[in-house]
Amino acid sequence: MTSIRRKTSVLVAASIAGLLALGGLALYAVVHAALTSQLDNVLSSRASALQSLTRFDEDKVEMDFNGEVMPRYQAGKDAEFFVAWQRRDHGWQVLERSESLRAFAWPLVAGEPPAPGSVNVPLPDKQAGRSLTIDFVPRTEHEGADERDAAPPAVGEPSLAPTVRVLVTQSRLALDRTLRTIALSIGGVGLALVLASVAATRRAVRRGTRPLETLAARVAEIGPGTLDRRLNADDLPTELTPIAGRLNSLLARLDDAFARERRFTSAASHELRTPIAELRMLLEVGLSRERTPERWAQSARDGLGVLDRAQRLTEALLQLSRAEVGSHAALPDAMIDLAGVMREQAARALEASGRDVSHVFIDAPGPLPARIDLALAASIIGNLIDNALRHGDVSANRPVRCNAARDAGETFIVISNHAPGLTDTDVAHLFEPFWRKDTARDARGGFGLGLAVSRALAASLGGQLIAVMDHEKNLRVSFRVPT
Amino acid sequence: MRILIVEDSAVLRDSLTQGMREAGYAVDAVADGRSGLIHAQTTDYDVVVLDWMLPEMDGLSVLSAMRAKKLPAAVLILTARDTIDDKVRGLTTGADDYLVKPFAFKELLARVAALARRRHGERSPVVVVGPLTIDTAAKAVRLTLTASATCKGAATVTLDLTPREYTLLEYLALRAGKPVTRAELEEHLYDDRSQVFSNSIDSAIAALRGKLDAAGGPECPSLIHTRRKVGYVLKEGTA
Repeated sequence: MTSIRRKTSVLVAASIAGLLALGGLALYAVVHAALTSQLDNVLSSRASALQSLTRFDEDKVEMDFNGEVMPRYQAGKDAEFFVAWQRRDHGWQVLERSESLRAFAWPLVAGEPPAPGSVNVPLPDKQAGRSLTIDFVPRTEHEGADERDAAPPAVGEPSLAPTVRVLVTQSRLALDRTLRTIALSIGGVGLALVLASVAATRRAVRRGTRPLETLAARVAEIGPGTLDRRLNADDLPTELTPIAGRLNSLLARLDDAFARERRFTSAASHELRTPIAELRMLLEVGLSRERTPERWAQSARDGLGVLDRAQRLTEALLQLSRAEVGSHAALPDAMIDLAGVMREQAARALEASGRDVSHVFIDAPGPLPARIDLALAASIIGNLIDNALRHGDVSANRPVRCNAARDAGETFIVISNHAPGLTDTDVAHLFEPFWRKDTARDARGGFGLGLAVSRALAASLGGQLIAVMDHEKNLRVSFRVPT
Repeated sequence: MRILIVEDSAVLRDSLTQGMREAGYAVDAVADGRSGLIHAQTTDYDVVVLDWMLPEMDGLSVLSAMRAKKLPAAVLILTARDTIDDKVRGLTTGADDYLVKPFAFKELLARVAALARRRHGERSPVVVVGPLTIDTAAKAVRLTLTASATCKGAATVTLDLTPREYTLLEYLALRAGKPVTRAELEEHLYDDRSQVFSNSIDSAIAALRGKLDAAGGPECPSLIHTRRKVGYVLKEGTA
């Protein structure tokens, strides 16, 4: 399982470590360049000093080098080296060399002129060194002139002096040691900073993710029995407020669904317990005394009546269950006339209820062909008309109105009746299983499942049932199917 | 004891009525809440067996109205609603007991008997008035005689009473020491379908006295005393 805290800590720590490494490298590079440049400046000044000691006098190049004045070129520890060559007709000849070179024959640096700048070279004792090679034309010594007046030939005046090449070399030991110390320091400090940043990151991330833990703890406290609770988002950071809002909205929907399920289970349980209680009493009281055959026969008839009702209840529950799990019914090949189905069902319902024909008013302009299952459509429409006749305030003056129409690709069957006893709250519960306006068992045998079954059937046809009530207490139940 | 059953299921209502009558209760039964409330307001029932889901007026509304009017009848709610919340709601509305359907008839009888006893302030199922011991659970009456100059001799006699005589004696025993009017006896011992004549109570009292005297002997002091222009009182000793 991925931990946000761990992942964020690793990412932040890795970023900090990377940045510190880059910074350390950059710092090291700058220091390295600065110290090397400093060494190169020293080499350059050494070469310039040797150049100033070199002069051309009477067809001869001379270098006034005195090892005692410049002890750095004497053999010994931390000695420096130099070699000076002068060009001759057939190549280069060593003009002067430091004593520190002893017998070591420093090879002539190639190139005409040699590559500018300093380069790393191995020293005679195999240690790392750095050298600078320069070419110059020695100043010409004019007779009688002071040395300080010696000057290179004037521009345009050809010099007779041969080119002199001087190589100066110095050990890199001190430089390398300093650079190593600096590198180790940067590395050590960098490592310490990385470790400190890991600890700081972990603490910061833990602190930063604490609201997530708070939210998780609050969510964990909510179970099936406490779905009415809501998450308090007041003290949560703004990033989590929308999540808390969504969760609260989900909880509200879950609470509603659980409440509906509980109501259904409670109602179903109630309906199933009642016939059991009736049969039990019938038999217990019957068996408590000696009874006549006639009395037993009456008890048997009563028991059959109870069983008949229980059977109808079971069948209605099964019908609801099948309708709810049923997917959209396959489209039949033949079209049916929904207006015709409505007329047939109105006639059947009128006959079943024993009401006068004036108690139903049919308004259907013409045939309404639709490609849906005839039996299901008849069941839905018939149930709506039955309900209207059974529960509505129906008379010749206030008939049940059955309208059929088509609009915007949908076919409507609207059954409306005057329902003065219904409230808007009742209308919201109309399609709930076992809901009845009167809490009693319906004397006419209803269980409060008819509209729930009809709605599930309508959904299985890809349609829907909608109930609305106007301000004059006329209940309109619309069955809509896509045409 | 007089019971009112308010139950909309005809099968259940008829079975309960028959069973309770056979158990010695005077029983009235109605099918809807409104009639139930009217009955409860006009008759002093000992126990009302009340369904929750009723037409016209649900059981809890009937119960609330009864409690608002301070009616003394004990109320047992008989319903298929079995959740804890339902039970709590029923009891907090003022019910004295709550029984979930389906139920055993024996249990209902026992609960109704207990409620009827408590209605008259008696907790024990055995009521003792002097030498008289009335076992309300077994519906048996025993007379314990000690040897004395006035009684036959030491013995325990079980009285053989008709259901009507038993209920009369039980009611008087639950109100022992207090005078009970004829009207009260009529109200608690006869239901709506009973034919009550002007001398019905007097005849029943006379029959009961006859059996008590026969068991105790003519010398044994009578336990049922007549209070002129008031009624009767069951107590040991003289009136």
